[in-house]
Amino acid sequence: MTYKDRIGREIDRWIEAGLVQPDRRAPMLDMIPDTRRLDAATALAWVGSVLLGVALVSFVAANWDGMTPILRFTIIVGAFLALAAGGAWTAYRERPIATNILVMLAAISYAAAIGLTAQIFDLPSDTRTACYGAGLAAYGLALAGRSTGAATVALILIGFGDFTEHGWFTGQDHDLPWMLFAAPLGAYLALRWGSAPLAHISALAIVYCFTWFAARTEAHAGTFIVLALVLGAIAASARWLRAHDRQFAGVFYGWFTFAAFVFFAIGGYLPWFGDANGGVSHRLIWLTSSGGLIALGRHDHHGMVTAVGVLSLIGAIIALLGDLGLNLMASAGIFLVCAVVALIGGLALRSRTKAS
Amino acid sequence: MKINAAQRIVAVAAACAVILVGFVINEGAARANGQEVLLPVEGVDPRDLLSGHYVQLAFNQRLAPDEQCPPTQTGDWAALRSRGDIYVVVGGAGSRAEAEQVGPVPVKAHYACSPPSPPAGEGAPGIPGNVHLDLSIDRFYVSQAEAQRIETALAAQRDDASRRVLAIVSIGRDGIARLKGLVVDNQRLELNWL
Repeated sequence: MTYKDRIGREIDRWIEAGLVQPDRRAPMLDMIPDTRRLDAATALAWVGSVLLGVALVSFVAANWDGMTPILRFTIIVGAFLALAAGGAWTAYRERPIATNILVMLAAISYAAAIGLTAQIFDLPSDTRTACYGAGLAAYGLALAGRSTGAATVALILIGFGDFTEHGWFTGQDHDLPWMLFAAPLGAYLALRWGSAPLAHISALAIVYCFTWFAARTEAHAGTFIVLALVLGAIAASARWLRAHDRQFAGVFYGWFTFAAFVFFAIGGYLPWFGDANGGVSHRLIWLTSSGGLIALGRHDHHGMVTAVGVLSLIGAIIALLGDLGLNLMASAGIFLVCAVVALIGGLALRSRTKAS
Repeated sequence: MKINAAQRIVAVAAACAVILVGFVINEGAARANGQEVLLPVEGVDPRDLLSGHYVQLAFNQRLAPDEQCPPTQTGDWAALRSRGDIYVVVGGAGSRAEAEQVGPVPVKAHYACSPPSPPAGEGAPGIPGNVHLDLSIDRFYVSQAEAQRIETALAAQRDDASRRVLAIVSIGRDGIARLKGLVVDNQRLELNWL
């Protein structure tokens, strides 16, 4: 049963209840587009196309060794251009999903073409430059074809480039990671184009930029707490955008909240004044803010923020127990008391709701 | 004038293809016009399941027990000098001009040396040393049959300390070393693009 069928049955119930006039049934259903059904001919055409592609790839692979380098190069560049041309054609025919997929495949094939070109002609290989080059090309294709898939590929390739032959987290590398420009661009495109996958990956990329910055600095509590506050401020901005119906800003809200709490938690274990760390006062702030985060997540109907709050609360309790040096029996007792308090509180709230 | 998405995609894809073709032509010209040197190589691992067939190369120059390591490298350049039919590392420098004063062929490379141990007393032969040259070249892609033949030659070379395999390297004006091919049992095996 399709969505339209289900709505039709609901409308019948509303008509029986006298809520809707019978003559409104057809116009209401007309507003719901019919679900596209894949007929047998179309399905066979798709299967045939896929098998043809597999046959072509197998044929080329079987004869790869026997081909001259220039012929191999022509094949890989031709494959890239064919995918890009397919993307251009679907863009001309105004089929955005097909354009997105084909341009993304073109971006991937260009990355493969760079690697294979170096292999075919035995060129000096520089993996980092190759990844950056392929990433820039993917971003160019993404912007040209409004392809969120190609933008995602670009972020992944630039991330590979950043990590290849680099020692970011050893403090010995002085180059700037390219993700510093790629991640904000990805976030901007995710918000502008309304793409959940791109929002997730660019949020993680921005968190990675913060981690890179933290790794370059002295391991001091102040740095991590400031970074946590900055991330918290960005999360608050994302929350504001979400409240103003900016699609997928909620993804950034969730990830930045998560990162802010991770940075805050780590900051509590680093030297604060002299050699001493945040101690019990840090854990208590952590505990309290985790509880506040759960309440905020529930208020905003945001599952990830609530989940981060719960995980953070568990972490804070474990950290506090560790600080207090309680043994397992004492820890079990505290957890039991907390559980009983939570249950009594929940039951009390429920009975009050029923009474009202 | 507004450029539509189809035109934009075609323009960007064409630019990407031109850059790739231009890179290949540029590298080909640099390889053809560079100074050709022969360097001793050793095999590391002949093939990789995911990367196709290739010979993994290590530019190692053996040092006899009575030889010395070149001076410790201070920059990103190394200087090569011919010794017989091959070229060997004679020192390092921070720039091309400085490297040219150390040896006639400057190349962007790093080297590390394990010094040999001289003979200790009667009947105790010395232990040979080794200079490892990192030219950012580590693979030579060939067909499966050629890879196996080269692998056999490299293995035999490792066992009897002979010099059956040499790398043909072109060193351009930019100091970058580009692989032109291998000499296997006195037979040149050059990369052929056509």
